[in-house]
Amino acid sequence: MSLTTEQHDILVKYLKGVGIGHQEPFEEFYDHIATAIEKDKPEDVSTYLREVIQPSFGGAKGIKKIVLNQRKARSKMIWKRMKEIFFSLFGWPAIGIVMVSFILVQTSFIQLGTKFTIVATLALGFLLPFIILAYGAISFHRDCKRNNRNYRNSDLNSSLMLLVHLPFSLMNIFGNLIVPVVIGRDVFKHFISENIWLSTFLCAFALLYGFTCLKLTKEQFIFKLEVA
Amino acid sequence: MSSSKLLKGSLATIVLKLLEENEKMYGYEITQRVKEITAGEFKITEGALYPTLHKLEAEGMLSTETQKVDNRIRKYYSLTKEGNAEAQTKVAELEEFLLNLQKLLNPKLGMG
Repeated sequence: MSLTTEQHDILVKYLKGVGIGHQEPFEEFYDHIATAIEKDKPEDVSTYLREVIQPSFGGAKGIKKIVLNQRKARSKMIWKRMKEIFFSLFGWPAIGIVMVSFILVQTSFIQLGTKFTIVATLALGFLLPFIILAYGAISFHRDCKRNNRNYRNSDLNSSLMLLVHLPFSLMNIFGNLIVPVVIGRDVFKHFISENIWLSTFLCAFALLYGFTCLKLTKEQFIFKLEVA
Repeated sequence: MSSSKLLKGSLATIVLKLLEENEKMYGYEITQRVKEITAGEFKITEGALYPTLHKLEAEGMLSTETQKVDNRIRKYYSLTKEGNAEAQTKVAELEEFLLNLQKLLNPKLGMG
């Protein structure tokens, strides 16, 4: 037996009211409460939610705490997987990717110049995964809308977005705040051209970070809803 | 101390044990199964169950899969290989603990 449209609407309104707007907690709690409603058959669903369901979840605060803790646990899992992928690049045969990255950066420095190489590697390593994820997030949003889902985002996608967004934000803070205000643009330019090993290391790191993010995205990111 | 406080410390073990006996279960099913087995004596609240399930999932003890049921998505939990080993260890630990508790609370029964 399924919920009536009225019961469904009350439940959706309730879940949104307590701040559940992402796919994973929404689907899990919707199913749990809907199953309970189907079994207990309450006369007034609103009262049932307020007096039976909400207290058993520890109140509205309890529900939010569960969602928040699950989000944290998921982020932790993503970070762990990211570290695994990144460090696996230093094992055989993936070490080849690291070596090729360093050789490419070094060759590019000589052939195409420092500025071009830095901009190109940062764009490839940090910007490309960001663009792919942004496209994925939009695609997921549209898919949810098309399938009349009551959420527009996923916890998993948000955690991945944060990971990809992080170096991008750090780069912005460093380039637009720390360099001009604290260090000075000319001093920084001079420092970079004098210490080519540092530029090589940073550029190669950007490429490896980008590779890690792309692999993680391929493994975990939800581009489309699974419609059974 | 209420039984719910005593239950809270053993919740992970209860969940692992239930999943060891059943191939896969969803949240509501777990709460109802516990109620059914204990004839309503133990009631697992959702506020305690879900953090436990999510924690076990994050630790790699549980894996999840979703299925469409009655036009909605249902999330099923099942034991991973590590979870299976952990279930056996945790149940053995709890059994030993209960045995020792029994000896303390009722020495005559413990000797038998």
